[in-house]
Order: sequence, then C-alpha cells, then structure tokens
Amino acid sequence: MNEQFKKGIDELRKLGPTYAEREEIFARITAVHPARAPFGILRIMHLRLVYLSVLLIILAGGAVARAAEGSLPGQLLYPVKVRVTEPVRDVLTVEPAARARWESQKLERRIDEAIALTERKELTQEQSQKIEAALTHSASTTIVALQELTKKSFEKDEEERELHRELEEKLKEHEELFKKSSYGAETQEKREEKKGVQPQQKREPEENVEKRTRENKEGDEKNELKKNTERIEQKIRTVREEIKKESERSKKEQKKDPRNQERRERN
Amino acid sequence: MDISNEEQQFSTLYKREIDALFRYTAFRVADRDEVLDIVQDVFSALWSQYRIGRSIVNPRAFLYASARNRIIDWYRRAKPASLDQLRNDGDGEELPFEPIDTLAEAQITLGAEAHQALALIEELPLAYRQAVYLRLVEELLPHEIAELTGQSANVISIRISRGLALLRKKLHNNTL
Repeated sequence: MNEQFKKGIDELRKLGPTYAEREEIFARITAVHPARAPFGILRIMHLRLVYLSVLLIILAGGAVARAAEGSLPGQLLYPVKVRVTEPVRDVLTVEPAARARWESQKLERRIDEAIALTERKELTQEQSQKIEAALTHSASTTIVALQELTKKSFEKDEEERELHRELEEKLKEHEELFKKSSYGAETQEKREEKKGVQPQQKREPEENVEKRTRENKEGDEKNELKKNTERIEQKIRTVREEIKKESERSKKEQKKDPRNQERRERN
Repeated sequence: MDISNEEQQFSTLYKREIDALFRYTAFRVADRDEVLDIVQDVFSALWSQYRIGRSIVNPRAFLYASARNRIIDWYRRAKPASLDQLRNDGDGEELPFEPIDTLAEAQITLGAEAHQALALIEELPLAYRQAVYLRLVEELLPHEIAELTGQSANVISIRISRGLALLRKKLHNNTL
C-alpha cells in the first residue's frame, strides 16, 4: 500500500478522547459504588487475608476488627483494615446520608494515614505516589457521595446540614493538626533562619555538636523526604479545598430547592 | 490505602481499550458528547462486574457488545431511517459505518491523509468496510474481529482479503 495511505492509517490510530477526558471518565467510573452484592464480598478480599482474618476473629473475637480500625500503613493489621473491614462497610452502607458520612470518614482516615507517613524518617517516591492516589480516590468517592446526598435526600435537610457542619469542623481540625505536625514545625524553623535568629545562642555542649554533624550528613536524605512530604501535603490541601467546594455547592443547591423554601415558610 | 487488584486490572484494560472503543463509537454516533457518554457507560458496566469480583472471560467482547447496544439505541432515537435502510441492504451488518459523514456531523476533524484513507475505506462495500478497518487501524486478528462482530472467523477472513484486494486496486489506480 502506498505511503500516503499508510500515513493516513497511522493518523487514524491517534484519534481518541483527550488525556483529560480519559482521566475524568476513569475517575468517575471508579468512584461509583456497586449495587449491593452480598455474596460478592468474599471475592473482593484476598483469600489469604480472608483466612487469616477469620482465624484471628475466631481466636480473638471482634477485637481484631476493632484493633484494625486505628491501624496505620506498615502496621500488622493495616491490610485487614483496608482490604477487609472497609470493603465490608462499603458494601453495607447504601443509604445516602450514611454513605456520605462513611466516605468522609474514610477520607479522614486517608488524611490521618498520610500525615502519619509524612512524619516517618523515610518516605519513598513510590509510597508517596500511592498515598496521593489513595487520597484522590477517596476524595472522588466522597464528592460523589455528597452529590448523591444532594440528589436524594431533600427531605432530610436537617441531617444534611448536620453532616456539612461536621465536615467543615473536621476540616478545620486537620488544619490545626497540620500546623502542629512536622511540616508546620519546619516552616517555623525556616522563618527563624530567614530572620537570622540562631535557635541556640549559648555555647553548645559536645553532645549537641555531634548531633549537628550527624544531622548534616542526613541532610540529603531529608531533602528527598521533604520533597515527597510536600507533595502529599499539597495533595491534602487540594483535597480539602475540593471537599469544601462540594460541601458549599450542595448547601446552595439545598437553598435553591423550592420544596425546602416551602418547608421553611411553613416552620 | 491500597489500590485493589481489581482496580489495577481494570485500569490496565481501560488504558488498552479506550481509544479503539472511542473510535468504534465515534465512527457511528454523530455526537461527540454522546460518544463519551457511551464510552463511560460501557466501561462503567464492566467496572461493576469487576467490583463485585466477577471475572469476565472476554472483556473486550463485553465492551464492544455493550457499545453496539447503546449505539443501536442512539440510532433508534436519532436516526431510525438509517436502521431501516440497513435492514434492507445491510448484508447482515447490524450497524451503519459511514465514518466520514459521521465525523463531520460530530465536528471531529481529521488530518488530510487520515481523511483520505478513511474515505477510501468507506468506498468499500459495507460488508467489507468494518473488517478491513478493524484489521488495518486497530490491527486486530480475524478471530478477534469475529468475536467482536459476532460473525465467524472464516467470513471475516474472506471479507478482509477481498476488501484489501479492492483497496489495493483503488490505490494503484489513484497513483496512476
């Protein structure tokens, strides 16, 4: 076949959705929770973990599931939390207000886990990418759940207002936590350096000098850590903004709904 | 915090198939937004299966079959006359395949060479068009095309070879 035709075929192969469209569609698809499928639960979890957790539960009772709830990445029970207890609640929580609450709980958990990870000594790029992906995913599912709430429960506006209020409070809490975390402390240090203020004015005892030399050697590792940490923190900020926006938007939708106006006039 | 296995698998499949599926739909549905909706619905249906742990033997066939159904629905709503025409002289093809007009209507532009190549393919008899296209552009094997279109591999092979022969003749004539 001649050259022009071949070129044409190659060009045809390039026709497709834009990169942005591809990403958006994927995010929308994977944010949606499935229809209830009670017998599907066991397939969601990895069989090995199923056996392990069944065994643990038999031995230790419900304490294992409870203990898993607060676990962080790297801890023994963390996989149980993420692959067993959370998916089970995913399938069981269907009612829109409860779902929105559960999704925002999960988002909180992801944020807590992300903060905990940033306070570790090492944080590889792979880990930080995983966290970012998990935060994005959780933010999408939370936004979708909030949208579902706006659509479906116009009658339950009390419950919703409560939920929005709770969410905003939690977001503020995280703001505080951040200032206290290592990132917050570091920026404080940076400010002091800029002003030329030495953290310690008096003559340092020997042990402190040793410590400082050690710290200089660890400087390079810290830069790597700092880079990865900052990416996560940026992600958390973006996620919080998105949630806030969505929260405010659904509140506005509530106010616009004529049924709500009626109710207010009646009251 | 972990991205589940299911999501990984789905993500791989998604990246592999989405462009071809987009094209398959865009050449038949003259409305780009509708095309994107169909693509999203189709992958969404597949994802639902993955999420509840049901493994699908032939995901690509599932995707294309779902897409075909939705494309037929669109024709019923938007262009019922085309479906009637097919029934009369379609040679067993269930969907129209007139990409040049469809893309123009959807305001999707092509480069000059791409347009020419597609126009040549469109000149082929309807029965050969789809098989030749899937072979040349999506580079599918005859048995894969057979799975997607619901026709036997033999029929597909014959259509491809006859269609390619016709194309060669046209190209030869064009360069004279």
